[in-house]
Amino acid sequence: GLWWRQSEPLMFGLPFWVVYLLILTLITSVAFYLFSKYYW
Amino acid sequence: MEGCTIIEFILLVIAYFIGLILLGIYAHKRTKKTAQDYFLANRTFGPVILFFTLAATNFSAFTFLGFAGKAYDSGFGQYGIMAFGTAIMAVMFYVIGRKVWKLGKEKGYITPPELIGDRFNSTSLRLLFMGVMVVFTIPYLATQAIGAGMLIESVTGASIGWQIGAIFTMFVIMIYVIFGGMRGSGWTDVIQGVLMISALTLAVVFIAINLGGFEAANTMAYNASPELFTRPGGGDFFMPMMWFSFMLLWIFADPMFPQIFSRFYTAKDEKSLKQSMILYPIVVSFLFLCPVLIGIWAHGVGLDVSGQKDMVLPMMVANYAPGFVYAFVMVGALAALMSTADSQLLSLSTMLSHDLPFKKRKISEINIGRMLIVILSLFAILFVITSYNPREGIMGTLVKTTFSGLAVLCPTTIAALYWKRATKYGCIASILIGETSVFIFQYNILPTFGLLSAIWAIIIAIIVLIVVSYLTKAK
Repeated sequence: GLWWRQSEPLMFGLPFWVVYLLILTLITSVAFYLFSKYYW
Repeated sequence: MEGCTIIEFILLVIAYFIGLILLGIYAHKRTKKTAQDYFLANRTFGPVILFFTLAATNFSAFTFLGFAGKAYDSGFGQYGIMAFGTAIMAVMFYVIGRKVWKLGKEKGYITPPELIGDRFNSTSLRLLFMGVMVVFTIPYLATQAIGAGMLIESVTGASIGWQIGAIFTMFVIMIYVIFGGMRGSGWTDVIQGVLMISALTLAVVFIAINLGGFEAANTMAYNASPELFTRPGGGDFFMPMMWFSFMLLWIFADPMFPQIFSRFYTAKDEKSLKQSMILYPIVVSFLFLCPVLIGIWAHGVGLDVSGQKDMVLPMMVANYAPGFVYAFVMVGALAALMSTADSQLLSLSTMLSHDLPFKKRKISEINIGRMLIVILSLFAILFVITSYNPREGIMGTLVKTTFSGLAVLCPTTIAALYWKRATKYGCIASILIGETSVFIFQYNILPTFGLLSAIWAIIIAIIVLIVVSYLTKAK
């Protein structure tokens, strides 16, 4: 389990999809934490 | 260089190099005379050292130079494929890393080919696996040295030529790796990792302040080159199939670098691997944004890079940050290069000394390893002096050869760790046909339909592995 040719709205001057990918990357870290705690 | 002269920069670099050599010598004093200790630090790396040694080894010349150059060309798409692609790759610390660590501890494996060869009881597969790793890593090692040389030439205004800089850097790496082995490499990686992260952060902060703030710097770039803020970006590079390819490529390619694979053996326990996996996305989420921002901001200020896109980051720092920051960032860039090169040098010498069927050894494996470190360093220097064209984009050269070639080894590795029905013939056929297909797609003999050639090579390697394994008898 995640806007082509779009750049606006800008957030802190960044395209919104860059902020989305940054948040998704941090969510991946949370997923790894839960994975290592409950499965590994 | 305002506020910092060339002489001061050279003194800073010399002090840094001496520090690395001293750390290598200290590691030498802490290392016992066993192959396990010299080549794998006796499998004692805790979470902090393991994370930094994985990260510093993984993030190389193009984390600093290539990312900024590619972002200057193609825009913010570079951040997406590098940050998320590298973050999700850390799932392989579980899929491959955990199994490799356990088998290494149980059976005393030292190199990646040793594990693969032993699993299938096949010397030919072991040598083939090693051959692919060596062939695709040596040019990459030379690239790190070239990157260091280019940086030194750039900072000193060509007072020191790039070839001299590359040779000097390679010599320093050779010294501390010979002395310190894996322990020296791991310890220096911690220092180099911290340097790299602080240097990139400082660079972005000072440039942003100089350009009127973070948002203002982005707005200037947006007004100058709005196409960099969308995908497919500049030059229509990030088409959907290309985006998909890159997101998938790192998962298969990164763990197959011998210097990364070998580090799975060095973990003290599974907790170290777990914590490295959790930290990876946190660090890449902001670290990889730094060079991308600097590359894009160069458009906002109308910087003329005149064909040297890989040097856009040093040029921006030189123009928009104080002299001491410039010197610090350049040392940070050197740290990124050296932390990858030292790991490559050690993993190559470990494989060549351990996996080649030497007979009647009159000298210890550690000393064979040390001699190979010298030979490989000289080989990289020879590359620098003679055949390599440093003016080609680093990223282009790497993606064309190294990543695709190593990614083909991933299906064999996963089969060795998980699939009981896999056979040595299936693995050998998978590697040989997979590598052949890398070049068939690379040179457009067959169409790639917008995907990277590496993706087709991986698909073919998987199919061949399954079909040939079912057609041959598993022992």
